Amino acid sequence: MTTAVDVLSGIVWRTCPIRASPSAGARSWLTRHDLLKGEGISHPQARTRFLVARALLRRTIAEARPDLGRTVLDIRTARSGRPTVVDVDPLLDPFLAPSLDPELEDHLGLYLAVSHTRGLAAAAVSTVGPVGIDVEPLGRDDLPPAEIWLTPEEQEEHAGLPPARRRTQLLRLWVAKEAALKASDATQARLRRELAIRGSGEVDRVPTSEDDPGASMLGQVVWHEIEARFLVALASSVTGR
Amino acid sequence: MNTNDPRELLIDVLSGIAPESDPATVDPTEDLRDELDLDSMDELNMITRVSARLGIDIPEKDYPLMRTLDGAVDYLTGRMAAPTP
Repeated sequence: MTTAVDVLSGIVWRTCPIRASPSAGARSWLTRHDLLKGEGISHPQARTRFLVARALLRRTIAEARPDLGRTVLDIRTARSGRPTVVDVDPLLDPFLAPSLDPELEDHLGLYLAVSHTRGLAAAAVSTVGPVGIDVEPLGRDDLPPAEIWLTPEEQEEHAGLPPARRRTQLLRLWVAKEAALKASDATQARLRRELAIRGSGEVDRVPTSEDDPGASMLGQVVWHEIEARFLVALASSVTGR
Repeated sequence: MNTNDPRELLIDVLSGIAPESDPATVDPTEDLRDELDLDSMDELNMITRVSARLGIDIPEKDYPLMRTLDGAVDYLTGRMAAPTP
């Protein structure tokens, strides 16, 4: 069972439940390189989550760019930490892999993001600019102390909320910041405490010194609940376009 | 537990964050997220708890230095040896 939704122009994203092991359908999307990378992950649940998320990402790429081959793309991790594609599987033909540039994040005009948590994987593919996605269980309550990752203004707002709303609001901010960080480029804020998430989902960078004016509208976040169990945030970069 | 030993401290903290795993048996050169099935929230909780127990501030820009057990031990050892400003 997979949910597919088009949210913002040029972005396709999907979610997929994670069970004890990848289904045969999921495995059919994986390359030898994906399977080898999975074998390198020692923790069984982490391995399963990686494989399910990788298959979901490939399926989402195929939906966003049906003109590309189903498994000829290799997916690597760029220096920014973001997944990026190269156009051949180096294990299939190592001499035809000239474009393995880990800095090249928009290869073939594709921007990728992936997230997984206990029970759900999510993937997003954009053809217009950097994209980010994050997913957490709605019931998760082990959030780090607010002062570590919220802006001072967010901390103030958080402290003023009724206790019953605090955890929900913190979770919304957490997934939004994680998604926004994935969608931000090196010239933008890279720290959670610098990214301010407005109620409407606008992403700003707060000033970090008296000489720093900050920046507004770096991106936009939208939230979705999946099966009343998970919260997904999808972020698109405005300035990156 | 010797609280001055960063490795022992990290294993103790990780045992609380990933109770279904055995942090003492991980490959210390591999990414803790893959070895212990941690996500970014677990990672930040680990850093917050280590920071509190050692009484040192760990800036967010240094978080990537703590992605492996050996990397985290090296980083904390260096921070503990550095003079307090």
